[in-house]
Amino acid sequence: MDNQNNKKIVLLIDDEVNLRQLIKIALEAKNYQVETAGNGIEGLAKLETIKPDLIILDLNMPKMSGLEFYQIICYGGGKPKYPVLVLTARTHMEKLFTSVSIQGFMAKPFEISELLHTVDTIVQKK
Amino acid sequence: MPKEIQVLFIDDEESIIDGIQRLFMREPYGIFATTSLDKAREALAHEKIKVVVSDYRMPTISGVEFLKEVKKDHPNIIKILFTGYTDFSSAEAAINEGEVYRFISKPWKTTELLSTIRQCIEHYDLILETKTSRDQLELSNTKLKSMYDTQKEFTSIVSHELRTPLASIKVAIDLIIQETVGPINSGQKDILTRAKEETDRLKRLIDDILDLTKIEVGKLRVNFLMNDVHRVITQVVDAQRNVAKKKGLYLKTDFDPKVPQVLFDSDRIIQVLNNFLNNAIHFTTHGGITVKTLDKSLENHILISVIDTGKGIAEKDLPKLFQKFQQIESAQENKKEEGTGLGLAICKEIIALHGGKIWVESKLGEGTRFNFTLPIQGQGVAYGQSK
Repeated sequence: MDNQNNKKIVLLIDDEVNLRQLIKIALEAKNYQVETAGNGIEGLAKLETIKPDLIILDLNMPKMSGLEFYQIICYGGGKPKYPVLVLTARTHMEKLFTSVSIQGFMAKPFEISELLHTVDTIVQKK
Repeated sequence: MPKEIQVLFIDDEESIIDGIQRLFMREPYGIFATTSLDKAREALAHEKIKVVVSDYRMPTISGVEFLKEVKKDHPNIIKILFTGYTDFSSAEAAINEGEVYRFISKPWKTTELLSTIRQCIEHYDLILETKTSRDQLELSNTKLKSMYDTQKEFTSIVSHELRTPLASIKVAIDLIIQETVGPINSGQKDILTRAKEETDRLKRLIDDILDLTKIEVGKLRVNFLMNDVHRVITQVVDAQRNVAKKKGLYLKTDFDPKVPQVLFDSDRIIQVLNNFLNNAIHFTTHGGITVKTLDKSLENHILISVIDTGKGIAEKDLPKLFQKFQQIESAQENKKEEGTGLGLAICKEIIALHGGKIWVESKLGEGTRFNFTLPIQGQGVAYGQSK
């Protein structure tokens, strides 16, 4: 995965500081470069400077929610420019995303091993 | 102290007014008797009138017209029409129209008039009392309903809010156990494994509370489709076979080939079957578990039973089984993988949503049989979505 010596980039957008930090530790241990943002607006700002291989997106966030962020990166009805993995504490939110194209969905609380596995799968497929 | 005026008399003959006033002097309530329409209207506006007695024939307005006017402005007041014998037939229709409670014919009998008025006042008081208590009941009913809704909404929000911090705790524990941030010794691992088990239990509990809340407020989405219950049972049994095998138990099916396809939500029925099987495997130490189906077309349903050869449940505990947070003694003895105490309560609601029945039969030392039915002819459809 890291054969060109440039790490895969994951943009992690979640307003929960602790969870963000913990997921970052887990992903960095798997050799990912992790960029973080606390809400959709910060996430958009990050996209000005990096091109992530995957965006991990929380749904309930202040200022700009995950759903709004998603709609913006879709640039008017199309598919998003980046693969997206949605994280949420709400159950059965999958239904909200059945008509849109995201690569994965995970309900909090989740197994970190499962999250890492999903991230690997999505990034390798890309 | 003057008596409260409760009765209004209107008649165009002064002599009648005088007679009435004398007649009612000894009554416990006050009366107002007048020949003037204006004064009568004024009394209606300012006194707490319960009964109006109006003469049928008056010069400016007929008694029926006046009583209609009373009905319009004071719907609760009891209305009586004074009629001469000659007026009776012509007054009859008018009596119905003005919702007149009684008519009194002139000349009246003193005792009859007094007792009629007394009855009218009692009638008025009774209606008012009934109305007041009905209003109070309605009010407290509305309050209760809104409290119930608030409680359910609160439960739902709290459960969701609990998931976020739980997610962090779970990831933190997992990262250390999986030695992502460096090696740990076996003692440390043992301690954290216990913490992990408890966070997993907390997660199950939150999931169950959310499920139950959703069902209780009728928000659980149920997706009814014509399904083969044998296919679903086979799927669940296959998934659980290894768990049973590890305990040295058999796990077999006994299908009635006559069982037809019926309407059900397979995810939800899988949830029920898993719950039954988990319990059965949990409380059985020798022998095993049989999942049996039976066609009961004559009774318009199919029967699904999970039968174990376990320790059985005491009769006194049977009614508690499907209640929330009720774990019977035998369940509490086994602390290894604790249930949430909500599983069977959820099963009960799911089966109710399908229009089926759920029950348990058991004898201590002989085993337990959990049963549920699913209606044939799709009666379950009507129970979907809303409640």
